[in-house]
Amino acid sequence: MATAAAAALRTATLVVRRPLITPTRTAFEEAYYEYHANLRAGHERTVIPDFWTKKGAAGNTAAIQMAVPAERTTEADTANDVKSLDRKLEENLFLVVKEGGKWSLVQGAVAEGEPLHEAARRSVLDKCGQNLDLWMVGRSPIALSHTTKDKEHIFVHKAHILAGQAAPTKGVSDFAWVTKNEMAKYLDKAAYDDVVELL
Amino acid sequence: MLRTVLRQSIRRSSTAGAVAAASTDAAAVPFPVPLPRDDVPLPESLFRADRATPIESRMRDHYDRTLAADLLYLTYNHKDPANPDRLAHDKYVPGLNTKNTAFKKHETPRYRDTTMRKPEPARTHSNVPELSSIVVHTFLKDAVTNKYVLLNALTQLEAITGKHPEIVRSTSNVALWKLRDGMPVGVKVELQGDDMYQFLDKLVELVLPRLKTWYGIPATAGDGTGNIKVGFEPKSMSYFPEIEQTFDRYPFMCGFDVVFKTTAYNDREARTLLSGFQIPIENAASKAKREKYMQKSDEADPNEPAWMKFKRAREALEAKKKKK
Repeated sequence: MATAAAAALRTATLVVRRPLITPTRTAFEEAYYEYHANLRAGHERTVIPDFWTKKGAAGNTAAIQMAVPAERTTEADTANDVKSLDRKLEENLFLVVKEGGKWSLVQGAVAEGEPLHEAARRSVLDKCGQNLDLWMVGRSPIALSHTTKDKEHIFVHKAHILAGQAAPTKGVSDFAWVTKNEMAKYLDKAAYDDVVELL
Repeated sequence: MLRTVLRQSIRRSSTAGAVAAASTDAAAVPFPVPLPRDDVPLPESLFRADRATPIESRMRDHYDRTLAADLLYLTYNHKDPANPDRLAHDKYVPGLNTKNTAFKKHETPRYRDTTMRKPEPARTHSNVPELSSIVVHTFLKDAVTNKYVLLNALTQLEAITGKHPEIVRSTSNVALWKLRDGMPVGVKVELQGDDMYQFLDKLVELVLPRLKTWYGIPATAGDGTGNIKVGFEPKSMSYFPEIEQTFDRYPFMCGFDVVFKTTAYNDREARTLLSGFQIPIENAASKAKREKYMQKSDEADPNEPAWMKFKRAREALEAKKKKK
């Protein structure tokens, strides 16, 4: 057990909202899939319509109403609302919070005898409100932070947000859901280098 | 459109020796030159019916962008693989710790010669468990007497998978069932790549939610080496959109198996992978929770007819006898 002289345990949680739509295809990718679709169509077994539809059956040849896909960019994208979970649907969004004037992942202390993954989960709910449905990715941490002081070990855990939204409580002045590329603007260099490989 | 893109890329690159030129007198003509490809069709041999067709697949995108990383974290072995003192449930050595009660029966590998198994590979980012193929298979007992039932199964499997299935022949002789070696008794089709992900998408989104009595893959499922089979009753075939549209055209629906072949080393990893694709896994705890939620009440209704009371009493007695 940790004594007064031993290092203190802390957890940091990388809360991620996974991508909700497929990635944007490049021109080459689109051409590639179109080519293969044409190739497949050219080699398909021909369908004999009279076998599958009865003679005089109404409505089978009518145009089928195809579902119109929603827009790939949302209002949150145009307004660049960094607090919204509907922004940048095709990318991962990571939660960063501002504590004591400094942006970082959600951190918290580990109580005596508490498992690390439970401490990670609890610290996110304590700091960002109970209105979060989180799924912890396993029980093991995914990284050990290198920016620790001598008397501190910070283990990083990964969690997915399934529902809800962060509501910062006391201690946390601000929060944002940012993409991998935007993370560098929020975290200072040491913290960013620590975390960049996990994104 | 691809040809246009390719041509433009050829124009831009100064050294393109790897590009195969259709013209035979390339030496006389300076390179790069716009080749008249639009009037020459691409060779037929580029189409391979036995290979998976590249198609946009959201399941594949989901695996590549989300699942693979999470699976690495979930299946990583934090202890030294060379260390014999590894996590108990990951290491079963036949003949050494068979009597270990920590290994439940379902955790032991199913096939016989486990000494011939390769040692478990160390988990890295490049060997994360992945779906390698899905085999959809039907066995028809009636095919022994009437070969033409296979035609029905062939058509149905082709409709739901998009690939032409192959006939499975018997390898044993059983006189009681009039079964002879070499007799066609089943139909199967193996899907890989994007075709596989398309089928999986259909299964997970359209078929599994409509099953009334299936709540998930059992937590004990698996063949011990990372492959999992799920059986479906004939009614499930009609939940596929291709069959549903033309339901009348089929004489009968076939039941089928779906075998998920994965690169996972053991059952636990395979189940984790499948649950990542939104296939539910049911263990005793979740089953108990579900039954409690659905509240199977055994309380007798005061207005129930006498025959129901008698039936209930008889069933209780038979259940008691069975327990003994």
